[in-house]
Amino acid sequence: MSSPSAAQAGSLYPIHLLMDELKSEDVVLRLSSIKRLSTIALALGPARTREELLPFLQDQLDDEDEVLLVLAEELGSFTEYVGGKQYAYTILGPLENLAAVEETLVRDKAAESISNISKDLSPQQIDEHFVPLLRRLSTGDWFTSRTSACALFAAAYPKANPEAQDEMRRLFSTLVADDTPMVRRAAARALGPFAKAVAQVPQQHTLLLTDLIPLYRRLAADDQDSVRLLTIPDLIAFASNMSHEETKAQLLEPLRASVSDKSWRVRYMVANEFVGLAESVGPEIVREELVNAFVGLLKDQEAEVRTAAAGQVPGFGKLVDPDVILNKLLPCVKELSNDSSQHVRAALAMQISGLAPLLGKDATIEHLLPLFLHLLKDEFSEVRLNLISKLEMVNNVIGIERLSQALLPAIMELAEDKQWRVRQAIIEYIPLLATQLGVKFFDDKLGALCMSWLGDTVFSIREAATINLKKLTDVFGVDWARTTIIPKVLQMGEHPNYLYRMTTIFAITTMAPSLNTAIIRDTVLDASLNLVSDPIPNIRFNVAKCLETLAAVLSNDPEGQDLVQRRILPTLRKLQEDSDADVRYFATKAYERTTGDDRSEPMQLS
Amino acid sequence: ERDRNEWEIERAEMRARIAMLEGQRRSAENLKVDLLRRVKMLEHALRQERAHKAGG
Repeated sequence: MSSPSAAQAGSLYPIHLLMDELKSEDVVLRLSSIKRLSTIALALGPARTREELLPFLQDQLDDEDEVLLVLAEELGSFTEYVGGKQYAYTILGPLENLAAVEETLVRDKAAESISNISKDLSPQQIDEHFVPLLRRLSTGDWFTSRTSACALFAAAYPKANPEAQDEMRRLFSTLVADDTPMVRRAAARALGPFAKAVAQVPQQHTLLLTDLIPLYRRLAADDQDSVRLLTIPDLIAFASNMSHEETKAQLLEPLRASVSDKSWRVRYMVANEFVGLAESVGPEIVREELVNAFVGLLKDQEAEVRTAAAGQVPGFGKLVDPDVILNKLLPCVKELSNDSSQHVRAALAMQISGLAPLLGKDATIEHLLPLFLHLLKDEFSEVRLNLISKLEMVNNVIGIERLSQALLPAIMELAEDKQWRVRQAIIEYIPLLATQLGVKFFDDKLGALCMSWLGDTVFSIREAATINLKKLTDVFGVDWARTTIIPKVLQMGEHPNYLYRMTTIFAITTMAPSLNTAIIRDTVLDASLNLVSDPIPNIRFNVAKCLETLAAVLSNDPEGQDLVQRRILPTLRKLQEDSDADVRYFATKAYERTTGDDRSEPMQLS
Repeated sequence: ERDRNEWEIERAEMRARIAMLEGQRRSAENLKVDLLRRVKMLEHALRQERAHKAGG
């Protein structure tokens, strides 16, 4: 038994302190302790960190995965605490153990940290410390350590000695031939980066062809589709590090096999990476092979594959001649616009505009516009939205005149559709359309349409139309609103049907936050004050609500506050003496909110 | 009856909240103790290093 003072002195030693902290029951405490591991290392100094702290951490593995994860992360940036790059290899020990644990996240983090550190090692240290570690992990009993090993090759390879590189390639090929699919998957994932690393080393280009291509072929022909699909990025990595002739000689055959793979997940991967693939293999193969392959993918029987392929249409179009687009791709695109899956159509609608700059004006008008109009009538709203959101690209190519000629009839038709949901859908796109088409076009063609919605028979449409007006004000500015919208809105305030008058009030209320004091004073205020004496109580209490909103906007500047005092408050007071109970209620509420003495009920405390 | 139920639910929620806050407080307290010890350790290390420098 040590005396209390000695125990206290003992607990001042960094390692003991860490041990105490790690004994804690509370995971959060252990976590925060590991997170600040650098403090301990700093207190110990480099020499004692290497001799005491790292050996201690080496066996410190029986903790929660969360704690281990943080430990793996911390160790990745520990180089400076162990005495700089020349001692960086000492950190590998604890990380090696972490790279073999069961939890994937911890292993991945440990592998990442090891890769980081291996960049700081000298060729000799790689020989002495890193390669043995790699050997131990790659031949470990559990697949976990072998999986982790796969990711470690790429970072260290360019710096290693030729003999070490030799061994690394050998080790990698044993991993590619592993029994468990988990390891083969990891190898397939790591093959691309590894190939890049080999290609970086001068004079090893032939090794790429003789050693690594066979590994790729082997993985690409794996009997598990989950392995095969991971070889697609490898294919891109290989192709971009080889000349086009070599690619053609070596990779064409596996490429063909992947495109027509029997598993749709592999074909999906190909479709998803298609542009990258086409860029890396060079124009010749694109012309000879990939165009037909792409057509095949666009006609694939799985909707997911078609969706992915549709997403690549403009990207791929950039790589081929306009003739090819017209003759080969457009027929497929046409077919896709009638696809049975809504997701395929939505993906197509998102991308189809990208073809316009590639085809040029005439071809766009002749071939793309009909597809556009067709998709614009699609029943699935996402299709229409995707199409409209990218309209600008087409606009730039064929000009506003042609676009509006073609588009307007379609929009008009939808705007007067019998189904109110269709009308509502098109209203929601109007602000977006307006930003793309510009103010002049809007005033000429669409302004009247927006006003006619205010008189719609369905309330939801009228409501959407008022919100639409506010958004348009935000887009085109208050001056535009004053000259274009407001006169028409106010005109409706004199309509014999009270519902129209109500719409005026609603429109004013909705637009108020986007207007400024001058406009409110000159235009809408008078109109709303006139409606105070409306015979219908419904109108009167909505005026009260409207005045409340207006007052909130006006109170932002001194002139507005004066207006509130002079005109709004007296009116509200008058409304408080109304014969209708609802009008009195809303007027009182508005009055209290505006004057600020809004005495809400005291909170009930139990 | 319904009021009573609501009251019970509210009460349970409050209890859970109290328990949570107490737990948080306890862990913050422990964390503070740990941090204090780390500061002490760093002070100790600094003092030793100074002594070392003065000596050497």
